Amino acid sequence: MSFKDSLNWINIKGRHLQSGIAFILHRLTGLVILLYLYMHLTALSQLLNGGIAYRNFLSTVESPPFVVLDILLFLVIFYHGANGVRLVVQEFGIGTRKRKLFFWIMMVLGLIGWLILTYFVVESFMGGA
Amino acid sequence: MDKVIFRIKKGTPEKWEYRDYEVPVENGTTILDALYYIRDNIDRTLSFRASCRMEVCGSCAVMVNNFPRTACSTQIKTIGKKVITLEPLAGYPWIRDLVVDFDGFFKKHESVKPYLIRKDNPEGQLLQSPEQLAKYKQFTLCIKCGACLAACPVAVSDPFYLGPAALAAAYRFNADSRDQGKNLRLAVVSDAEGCWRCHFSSECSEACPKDIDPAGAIQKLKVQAAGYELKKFLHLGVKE
Repeated sequence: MSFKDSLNWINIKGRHLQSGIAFILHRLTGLVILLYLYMHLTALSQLLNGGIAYRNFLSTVESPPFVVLDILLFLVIFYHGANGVRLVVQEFGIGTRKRKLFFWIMMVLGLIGWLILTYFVVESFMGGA
Repeated sequence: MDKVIFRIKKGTPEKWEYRDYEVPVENGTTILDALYYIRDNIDRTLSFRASCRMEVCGSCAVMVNNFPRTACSTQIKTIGKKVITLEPLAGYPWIRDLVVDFDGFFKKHESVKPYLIRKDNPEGQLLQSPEQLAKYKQFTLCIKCGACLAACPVAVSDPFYLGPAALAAAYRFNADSRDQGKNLRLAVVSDAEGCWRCHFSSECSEACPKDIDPAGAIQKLKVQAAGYELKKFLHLGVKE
């Protein structure tokens, strides 16, 4: 098997939103979350340089561009979480014929969760600014 | 009569190109009709596989605009495109034009023991209630066209994965009340390249021309396999 063949899973041509594309997005969002985990641990390691260095670092990441990135990260996490719950339920063999319905129910719930969290993040940021 | 351009991947893995063929189309014309039209009237060298022309033999599955379909049961006008791309099934070794090698597919199918296994030698009929039949009936409709495997994003990137057709066949016999070989099959499918490789993308169920739900079968097989592995782990005596 060639390296090109091993990347065939990412091909979106001919795939369905509630099936193949949801699968691709789940993997990609998983990779983004993994990357974020490493970035988060790296950021926390700033504590090793002392409290002042860590507070200086925090003042940098508490700026509008980083808040926008945080909100986008929440979107990634909410998609991965909502789709993950759907997968857990359906991998027990429940509702496998109702893929589209399950997918959209979880997407709407995920979107509602993301909008609520975004509201609180923006309100907190504007209040603190 | 409308005209549709068929853009067909023509050649062998060593040397190939996309070639365009113009085909007259009316209501009810299928992709298989178009392939026969091309071979009879335009290009006698076009290779494709077909037999029954009525979605029973499972020979004619091809990639139609990047999605696997049986050519005999896909009416061209339902696709609604003026240019239709035909390619050999994804995930199979390509031989030439629209013909792929199915040896691996059938070997995977054979490996899951797709037949009734009995420990005794019963005399007379093995009776079954309608409820018992309903548990597996849809999976008996599989025509082995291989479209599910071509649609599966895991199968097209991992040639060792057993694939939806073989796993659905394993479930079909495991769910059959007359069968006594459940653990023999679970020993085969409860493997990194078996049911645990499925990540429920469920494209197999989208692609199935017989409206079978192989994705659902694989998930139920996972539940069976989890019980089987747990019993093995706890040394509860798994009988083969």
